[in-house]
Amino acid sequence: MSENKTPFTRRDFIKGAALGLGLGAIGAMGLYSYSPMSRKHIAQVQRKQGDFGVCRGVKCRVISETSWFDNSQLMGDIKAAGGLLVDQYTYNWPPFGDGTGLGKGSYEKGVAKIKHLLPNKLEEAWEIAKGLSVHPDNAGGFAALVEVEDMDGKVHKYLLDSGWSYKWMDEAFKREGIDKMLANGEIEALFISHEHFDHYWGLPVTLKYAPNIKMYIPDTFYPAGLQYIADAGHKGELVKVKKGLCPIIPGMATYVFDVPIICKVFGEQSMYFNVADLGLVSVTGCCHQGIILFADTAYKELRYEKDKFHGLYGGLHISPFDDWDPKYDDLVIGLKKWELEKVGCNHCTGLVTAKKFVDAGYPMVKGTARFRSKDPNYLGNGDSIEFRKA
Amino acid sequence: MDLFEITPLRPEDAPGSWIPGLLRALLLRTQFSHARARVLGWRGIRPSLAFGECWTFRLRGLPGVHGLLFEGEEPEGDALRGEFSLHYFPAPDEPRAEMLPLAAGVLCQRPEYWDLVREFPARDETRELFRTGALHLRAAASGRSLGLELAALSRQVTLAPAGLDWPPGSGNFVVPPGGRESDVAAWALSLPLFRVLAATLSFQLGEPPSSQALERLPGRVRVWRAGRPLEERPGPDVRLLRLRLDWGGPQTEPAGPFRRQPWLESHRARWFEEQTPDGRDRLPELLVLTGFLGAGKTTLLRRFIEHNQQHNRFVAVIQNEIGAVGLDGRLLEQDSPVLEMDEGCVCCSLSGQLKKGLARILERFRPDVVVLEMSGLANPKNILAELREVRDLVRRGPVLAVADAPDLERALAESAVARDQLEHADVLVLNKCDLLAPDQAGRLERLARERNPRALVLTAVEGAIPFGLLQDPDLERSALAWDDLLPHFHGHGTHADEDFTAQTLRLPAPVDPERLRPALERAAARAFRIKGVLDVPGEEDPVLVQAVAGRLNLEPLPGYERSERFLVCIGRGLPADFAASLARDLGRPA
Repeated sequence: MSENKTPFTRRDFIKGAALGLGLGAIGAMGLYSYSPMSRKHIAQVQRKQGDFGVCRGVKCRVISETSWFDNSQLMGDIKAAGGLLVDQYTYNWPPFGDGTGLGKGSYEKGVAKIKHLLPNKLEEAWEIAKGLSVHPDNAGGFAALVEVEDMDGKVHKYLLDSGWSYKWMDEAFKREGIDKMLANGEIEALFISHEHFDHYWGLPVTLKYAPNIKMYIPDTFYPAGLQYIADAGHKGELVKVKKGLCPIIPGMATYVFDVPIICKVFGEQSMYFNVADLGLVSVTGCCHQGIILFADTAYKELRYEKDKFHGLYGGLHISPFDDWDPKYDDLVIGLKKWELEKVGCNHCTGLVTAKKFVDAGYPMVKGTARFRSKDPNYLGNGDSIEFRKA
Repeated sequence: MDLFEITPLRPEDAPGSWIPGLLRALLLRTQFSHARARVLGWRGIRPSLAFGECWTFRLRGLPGVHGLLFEGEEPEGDALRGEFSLHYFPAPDEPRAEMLPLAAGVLCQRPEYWDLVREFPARDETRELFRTGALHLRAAASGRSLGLELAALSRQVTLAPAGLDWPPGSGNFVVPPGGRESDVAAWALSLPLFRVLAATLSFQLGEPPSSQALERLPGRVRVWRAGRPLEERPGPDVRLLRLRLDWGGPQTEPAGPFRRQPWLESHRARWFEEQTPDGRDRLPELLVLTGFLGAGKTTLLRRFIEHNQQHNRFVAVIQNEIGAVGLDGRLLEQDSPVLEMDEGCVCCSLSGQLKKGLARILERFRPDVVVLEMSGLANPKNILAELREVRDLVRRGPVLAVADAPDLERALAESAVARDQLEHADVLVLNKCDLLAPDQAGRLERLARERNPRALVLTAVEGAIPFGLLQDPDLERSALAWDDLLPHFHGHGTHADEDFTAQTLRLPAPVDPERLRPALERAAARAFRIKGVLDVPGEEDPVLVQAVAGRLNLEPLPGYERSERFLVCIGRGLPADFAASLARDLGRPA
């Protein structure tokens, strides 16, 4: 400023003060007034610490984490069909193939070919779908068995997701004994994390064994996805979980995030557990909301043992956005804030991401690379992880 | 238009607030077409919930970071109106940082500044002193109309009639009597974020605003006197400006100074093409990866592929491999399509094939990025004639060279190809820095900068570089290595001139573990590079062999489903029976 003919310039002052002064020194002269805004703001950021009870432990068994087998084929199909915003039901992937080719299908035309066979004649339905679909052998699926031990020692079993390929999932269910658990009524409910093909389209495989099972889905399914529940033969109670926290039993709640996801899907339901003497455990399908928002939400919304984020299992997406500082790594910074004691990840979690957990000193539970799971650094098909105070 | 196409969540089903979710859905859906997000002006987005619902953004052309903080929503007629405060955090060396409120200017210079910006709502100073305006987003309950409004002062001024001296009472005036404690061009700093947001809305809604209106109202300035509360009074040369755009109403003709704004155009697909006549928007990027043998190109490439996958971008790889069996392609192909060009080197024997191969991979997989991984022995200069031919298929990306840092000086002394790789890179990665003595890394970095002052030089362990840097505006500069070299193409030294040869040894039966390591160590002392896959009795997984510059590494390779077992040996002046004698060493019939 031209009028500033003082012994030191504004620039010198600012640079010097940055080294020497405490941040509040200038503000303390009464130059700035923060109060009205701050009150409004503080009300907004207070932790809610919602109490959802406590459980003794939780165990997850990987029924299948291999959602598809050839990533190039999958991404090539998505791109050729028009990109990431295109509706998944138009791809002509199984079981909704109608023979018209990539990008030209629809839920109605596809399901019409197999609807009469659901949910009991799945082999036949899959054979028909195979003949009419693009890359049918690329389909696998994501599903996990979640066993929660309550404080009285009773174990509650739940399914998280029902995979994709009828054939692959039925084999996986049989391999892990899920078919019998469902038929015996041992599994109390099916939770669908989100509407994506690899988590949801294998729904009839669960319904074949337990058509009356209680289902929890995010409240943001599109009409085709809702129609599939009826078409697949579901006869039980359907709970549409709204955005926010949904307590299930003491120590177990789900949380629905209102997040748009590629292939025209909206909303993801994740699971939180409050494990006695350990802390918070989360179980995710894909965590499309990004691991940072996921962890921030838990911190703000929930009360948990020892105020400690103890462990996690499932697929982990990091932030869907490119950060504005290319050198910044969300995960590395996030990991510094948490004190995880046990981590099992797979599915959409990259190996490099897994390695960052290891580098941050967080113990990753390794797998056995069986049943087409490829890397022992992951929890693979048939492996399990338990969170429980010994 | 229908807002419920963007978020199927209805306001009545959203406990707390709904507007931030709408904004998040708009921003996230825009990221799903990454190239378009860049044309719209986005250069980085960071959401945060920890201290209130907020975002920080970097926009094209601005050195600083914008912030947006949600401050609440309320019904307004049959609509919901969400309020956000808008902030601009200048880069510390921007001249405009000097005329911020003094405490903000000081904050800018502190080393932890950018960390504070990331979670700016957490502190009074970051939340209040960088605030430049207010933004409102108004959505009709029917989902059929949307409004966006910016309100900001033309200048945000605090006057100091008696001046401000430091320390107080010293007479050393930082602000002279009658001067301005701060003077921020608040409107001009707020408008860029408004512009990008508004263009994003037109893009997502598929239509331009139906009306726009600009209001000019009298503005106010603040007055500070020591020991007294801040006063406000009318500022004669200050205006409060309000710009409001509405989508979904009756269409009116755009008027006033806002006739050529992106928000009037970005609903048209053609506009995106017009913004990038060189195909930046439409064409996938071609990144050229070079590097001397065993420098860690494949490891870096795997990280690069995962980085892109995490951001919903899809990478295809074209690689050529000297030696009959392509190993690297098989390591990668679980994640990405890999087109291998075997039996030679892109640079010297595949004239014409690159274009055909590239066209095939683009047609089948439609990748966002194609990496051309050149054989470690390839001279990057020689590829450029071919790159000229593929300019209509891809947009040019950086040439990235990976160097084995511990071996850098030797390679540069002995190999003209290695020198060319270093000198013609846009980004140079000094890899394996964990193997260096503490003082060595800095010296090698200086050496690399001297040899190639133009390149971005990065140090790395296991190829871990911040891949976001490859999207950095600095690398969007016009003079990439491609342009630099194209006119000078006359054919340069190739690896055949340097007497490098490759020999392949096939190993269909398992290898005796007792003999394996000693035999490979002897061979690695002579050959420059050995790599391959073989079986060892009793081991469940095949073993991946990698040796470079005398360092041998053996590791299990789970999930490798190919049946070939082999070793490829590459070296300068290898005897014709090198592979055969290695076979004998391994206890196998030659």
